[in-house]
Amino acid sequence: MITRESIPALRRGIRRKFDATRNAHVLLGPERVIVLDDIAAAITELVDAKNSVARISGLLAERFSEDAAMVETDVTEFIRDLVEKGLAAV
Amino acid sequence: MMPSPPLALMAELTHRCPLQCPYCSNPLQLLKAGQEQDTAFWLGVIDEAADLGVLQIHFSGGEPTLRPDLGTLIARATARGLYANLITSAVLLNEDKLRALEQAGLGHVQVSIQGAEAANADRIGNYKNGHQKKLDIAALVTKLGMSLTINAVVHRQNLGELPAIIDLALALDADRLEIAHVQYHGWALRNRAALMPTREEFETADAIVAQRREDLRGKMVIDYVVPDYYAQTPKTCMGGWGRQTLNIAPDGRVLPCHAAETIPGLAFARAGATPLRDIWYNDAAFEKFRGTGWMQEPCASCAFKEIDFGGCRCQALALAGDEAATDPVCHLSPRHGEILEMAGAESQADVRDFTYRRI
Repeated sequence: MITRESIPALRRGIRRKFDATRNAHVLLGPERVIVLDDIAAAITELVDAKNSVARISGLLAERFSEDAAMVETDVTEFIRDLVEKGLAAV
Repeated sequence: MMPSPPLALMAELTHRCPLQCPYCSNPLQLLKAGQEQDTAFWLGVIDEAADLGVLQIHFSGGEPTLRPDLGTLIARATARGLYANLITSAVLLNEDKLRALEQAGLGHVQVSIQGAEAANADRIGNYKNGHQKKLDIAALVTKLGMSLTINAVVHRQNLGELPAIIDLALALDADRLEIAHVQYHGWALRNRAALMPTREEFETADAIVAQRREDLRGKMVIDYVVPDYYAQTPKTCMGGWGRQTLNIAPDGRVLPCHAAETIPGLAFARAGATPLRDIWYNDAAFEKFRGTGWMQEPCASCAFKEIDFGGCRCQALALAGDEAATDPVCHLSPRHGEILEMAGAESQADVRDFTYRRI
């Protein structure tokens, strides 16, 4: 269950890097490659085992001048997907 | 249309292996130590792969830890930004060796198990006390902070252990469990009558995996490879021919998949002699079944042709006698009924002994 207080972190062995060939950030893990779009790259940059879902959402809402509640819904959904793919844990 | 850059490189460093699993994915004609490529060759391959856009490298075999240069290769891959995976039987590893690989940058270790019950597992791999050794090493993988996958190939002679296999992976704190029904090529094809589960056994396994997957959501990922013969639609073999992956054999030949050499008439370029980039974009073997232009009916007009890319070419050859035919595991293949019937008959065969994989 992911709440706004949840603090996500990349699971052990998962790496995030910039890939020059695809000109995009990627998440790499066991049998998993995720090419991140700009929004996903911005979210994962803040997934650091310190920031809560609420804080990540707040920072992004401010940065992109978007509605905070809407951003939080999207961030929660994205984090849930990462957790289910075994790339992040909360 | 120009293909996308490859995502992954499968580096089969050696065919040598202390285990003798009867479903080994290596070819029947195994390469000997003297035919293997040296360290300089593989370092060159890693550099070329990184330049080509490869993101993941799988160090595989045979048993890759037999190569004393494994740490050197992992270090180079890591330095070039590749995510290094080790696919191992684990029986030759110890804490010092594993620590050195971790220091070199290894991110993920996939440890194979042959079952959950030691005596049966050791019989399947034909390696004494292998099972316990694997469990010890698997525990070390996570202790050293690396991601752990447990890989279990399942078949008639261990499918009853499936719930225990899942529990074992959980007890080992695995991040991921790969449950793969045997794919019937090479050695497995030779041992098919000893390995094929019954349809009922398959359906029970299927239900167990579906249930446990749901229960373990967010805790442990279960990747599941269904047995082709009981499937309705073919698997997207290799993610599509020449779409995602390069496979390099121990002697340096570059293949679209590890079984591609079973297809007669395909010639494979050698890395080192031909630039990897040229092989990926121009090699005739990679072009042969790339995309959908090569397809016959019923694939050619199928709505799923860009989903499964017609299934497995090697299996089409092995079962239908034509590598360009629809994979006979597809319910639309004219051979599908025949395959199902044969699987059903072999699943009842009174065969328990294996032809073990040997060089």
